[in-house]
Amino acid sequence: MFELKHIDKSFRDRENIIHIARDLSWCLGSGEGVALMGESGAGKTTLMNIIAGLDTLDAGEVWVDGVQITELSQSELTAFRRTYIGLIFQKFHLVPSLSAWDNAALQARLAGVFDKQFARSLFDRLGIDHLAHRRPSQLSGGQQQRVAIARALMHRPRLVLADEPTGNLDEATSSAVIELLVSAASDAGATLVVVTHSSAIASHLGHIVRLGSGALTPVS
Amino acid sequence: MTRATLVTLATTLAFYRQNPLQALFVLTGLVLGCGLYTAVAQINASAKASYSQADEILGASAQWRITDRVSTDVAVDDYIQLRRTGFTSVYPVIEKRLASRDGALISIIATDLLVLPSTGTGGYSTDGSDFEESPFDSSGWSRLTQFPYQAWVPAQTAERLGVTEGQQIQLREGTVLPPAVIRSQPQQRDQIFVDLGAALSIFETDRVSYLAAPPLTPKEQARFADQFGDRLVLSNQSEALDLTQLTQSLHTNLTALGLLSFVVGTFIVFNAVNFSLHARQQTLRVLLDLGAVRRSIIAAIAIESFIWGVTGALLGTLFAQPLSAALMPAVAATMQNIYGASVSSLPVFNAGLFWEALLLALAGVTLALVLPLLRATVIRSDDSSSEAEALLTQRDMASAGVGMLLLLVAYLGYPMASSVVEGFALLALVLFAGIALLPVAVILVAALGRAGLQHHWLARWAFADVSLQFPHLRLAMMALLLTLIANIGVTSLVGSFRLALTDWLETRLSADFYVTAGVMDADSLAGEPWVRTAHRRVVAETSFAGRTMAVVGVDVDAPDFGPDNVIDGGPDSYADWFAGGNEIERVFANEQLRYLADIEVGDTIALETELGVRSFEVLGFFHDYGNVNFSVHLPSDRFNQLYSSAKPQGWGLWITDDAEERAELRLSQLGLEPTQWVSQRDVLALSLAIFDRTFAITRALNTLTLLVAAIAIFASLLAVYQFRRSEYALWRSLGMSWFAFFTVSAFPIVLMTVVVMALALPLGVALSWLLIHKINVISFGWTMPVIIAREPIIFLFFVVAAVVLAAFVLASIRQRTAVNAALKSLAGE
Repeated sequence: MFELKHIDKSFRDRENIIHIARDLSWCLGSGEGVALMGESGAGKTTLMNIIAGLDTLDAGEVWVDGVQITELSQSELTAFRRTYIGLIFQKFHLVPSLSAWDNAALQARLAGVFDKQFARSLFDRLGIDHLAHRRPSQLSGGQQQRVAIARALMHRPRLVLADEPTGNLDEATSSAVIELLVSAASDAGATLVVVTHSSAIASHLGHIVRLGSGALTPVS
Repeated sequence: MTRATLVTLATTLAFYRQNPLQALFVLTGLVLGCGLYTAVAQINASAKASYSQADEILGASAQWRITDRVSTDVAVDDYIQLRRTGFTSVYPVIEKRLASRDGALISIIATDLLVLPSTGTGGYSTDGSDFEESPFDSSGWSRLTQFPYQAWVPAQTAERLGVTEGQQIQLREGTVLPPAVIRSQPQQRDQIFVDLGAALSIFETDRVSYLAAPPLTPKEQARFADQFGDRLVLSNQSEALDLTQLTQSLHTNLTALGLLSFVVGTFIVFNAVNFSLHARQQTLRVLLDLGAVRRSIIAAIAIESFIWGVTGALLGTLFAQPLSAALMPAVAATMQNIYGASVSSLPVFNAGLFWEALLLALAGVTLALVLPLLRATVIRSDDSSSEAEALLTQRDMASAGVGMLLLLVAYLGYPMASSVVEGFALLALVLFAGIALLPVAVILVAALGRAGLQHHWLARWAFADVSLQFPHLRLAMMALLLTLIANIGVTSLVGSFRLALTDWLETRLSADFYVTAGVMDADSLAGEPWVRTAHRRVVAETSFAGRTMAVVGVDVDAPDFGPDNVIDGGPDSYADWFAGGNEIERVFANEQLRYLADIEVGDTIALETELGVRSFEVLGFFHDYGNVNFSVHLPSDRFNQLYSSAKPQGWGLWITDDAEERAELRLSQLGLEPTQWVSQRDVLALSLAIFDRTFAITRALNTLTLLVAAIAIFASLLAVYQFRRSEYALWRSLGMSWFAFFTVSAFPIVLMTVVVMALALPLGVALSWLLIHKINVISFGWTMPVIIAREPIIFLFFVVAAVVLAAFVLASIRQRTAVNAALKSLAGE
């Protein structure tokens, strides 16, 4: 599904250079689920941004579904994301002026692939069908994250990237939300990458990798 | 100051170090607001200082003025006779307001410096600070009084006209003034001074405008009345029209525009503060958590406000200096053209105004900065966001209620307002009603749009986004609304006035040529084939209710006054008027008599005639725009009986078709000098040029206020983009194209601008109605039809659309880069 080929990414922090990725290569197949773990500051979010085309590389190549996205222009990247990638953020990032339904439908509508039947089944599966007309401010954190999951899946992306999706939720809600995310992504046949600190959350995914010192290490 | 306060101050001020643009906006709002207010206050103060010298001429007392009983000027022979009979303090004055060859308006004053009662000083040097050589030394005197004479042009007048030392100004009708010398006498203001002898020679006349005199004893007054009362009128200038009172409406108008600018400037401060407030809420909460007492925070905020206030007032006062200097000539022209008041073109710096500006700036900062910041120390940020998301908050509903109430008060108060200040209070009610109604209007339109386009998701989103942007743009939109209402009101007023004046002038000046009295007689005119008809102009001056009253003898068959010109006269009033009465005279009166002296149709007034005091019945009224005096029209037959010694002022000539060139040639062949006749078309063009110049100050202030509103919108949009950057990054992360991005983000500002325009239109029309039917009537005593012309309002809307678009484009320039940068930190937030 996606492949990172010998990528380099570093930051300069005053006198020090922090390496996020140093000749890093990583490949993940379709429908797989993986938890990306690591210490604070290891660069998990940056790596996720690189895969999503939200951040740039110092060197190397990023291939998603057979397309080398590092070669794409900003407009082409935007169009690519619209169709192939679903994003879930720690702070949900819902549009406050839109209802839960419109928020969830947003990316699918932008991509021109909105399917009302599929949207209804997704809402039903995520347990938020009765909240469709509410605005984000009228929803709890768990409900907001379920809407965000619906948004990330509604256009049937090939790749779903979730950055600390349960970071703002309590333990019980976290568990429920991650279960829903994993099963819904699996049903949709999407590859899922979840950035997390929590071993409990990571345990819901099929694979776990740890990022540190610019390299990825599989965790058994 | 305690250490805690200093630490708190340093912490809160650090925000501006990181966000210099916000500091710039706070300062811009304050400087523009204070600057415009101070500039206008300075202009008012300078003009009022000139009024206090209104009964002085070139440094000499002119408490008494002597005019001819029947003519508009005084014969030099009368002046000589007065001096011979012991009135040695009387001095002659010629005052003329003419156009130069290239159309610039110039004022000329001439007198005899030797006979000025308090003369003894020399002139000012070109910089106005030191006295130059006395004009009375041998060479100075001879240069001034002997051919080719001198014209003393004040420095600022020379600059305005582009005249250099030695240059000769040519007037429109061909007359050439003596060589210019750049210097001035005390109180010469914007006038060009020439010696009396020179003026009599170059204008080829033996008459002066009037005679002036310092205070006269009752004995002298009695002697004057006894010896000259039959042909000359002695009037006390301090009892004449009170210029301060007369011009109060213009000054109140200017002050209102200055305050409006200040309010609009404060809106910019509000917007900047909104952003700084958002950014500093966390800082203030951390400070409180770390143990900073509320008193320290309040002290730090007070110090910050004071720093802003002083800096804003200082820079605003500095900014006001070139601004008032640029606007003052237009004000001086207004004073001269509407009120006949001579005002210096140079504003005078008044230190007291700085303190006024400082107080205003502090009040503005207190409103804009202190209250929200103090609120931030007690209110959590979540509260405001939930409020912003509600369709109509309680505050919006209350605001709409207040708006309706203000309109109701204005409606009920309309018949009761009887002073200029009360009239302007009505205007303020309309303006504030507008800004109180705006939030509900915007949110309701957005809700209606959203409901109407329920099935189109992008439209639904765009309409929904209005409710998110509006809280940030609320103040800027209110500023735009205020500016737009004032602009439409004043544009309609000026447009109505111009149209009414043009109609009136075209009727009054319907004759093609006007020939000075005494150069042609009825017989010679009758023999000219190019003359279609000719009518004599004759006026006698008397007084009524403390004002000058002009009794005009009107030929009943003259084309420039007919039944169409009569307002509120009965169906037979015109016939009754020219038929005349037996015991009682019948006249038409100007509107000034109706509004300033409460005279109605059917009332009688007593006027002095050469046959004694007579009663005149008012049969109807006529428009008499811009006239500060009373006037009545009497059929010429009756006029000749009542004012038999009134000298005619001249002839109005109506010529046959296409005979203009022939007429001009023939007038020259008849021996008429260019100064003895004038083409009425030139007079009309000149009158309209004077009119346009008169209202230049209003237009300039309106433009400046619009500019300030544009800056407020620009600042607000920048704040919106800062606030919503992560949300905008989300849009892009979901794959939104730039086209869709800018369509959705621009739509709210477009919709809000349209709502502002829609609201401004009826309120602006109401404002112009109030200006014309209330302020104008209270101030001048005349009214006119309200003409709401489509073109200037459409043009204004185009300008506003362009201004808003420019603000949007400017604010969006860095938007793509900033949003792309924000994409990287989206996941980390």
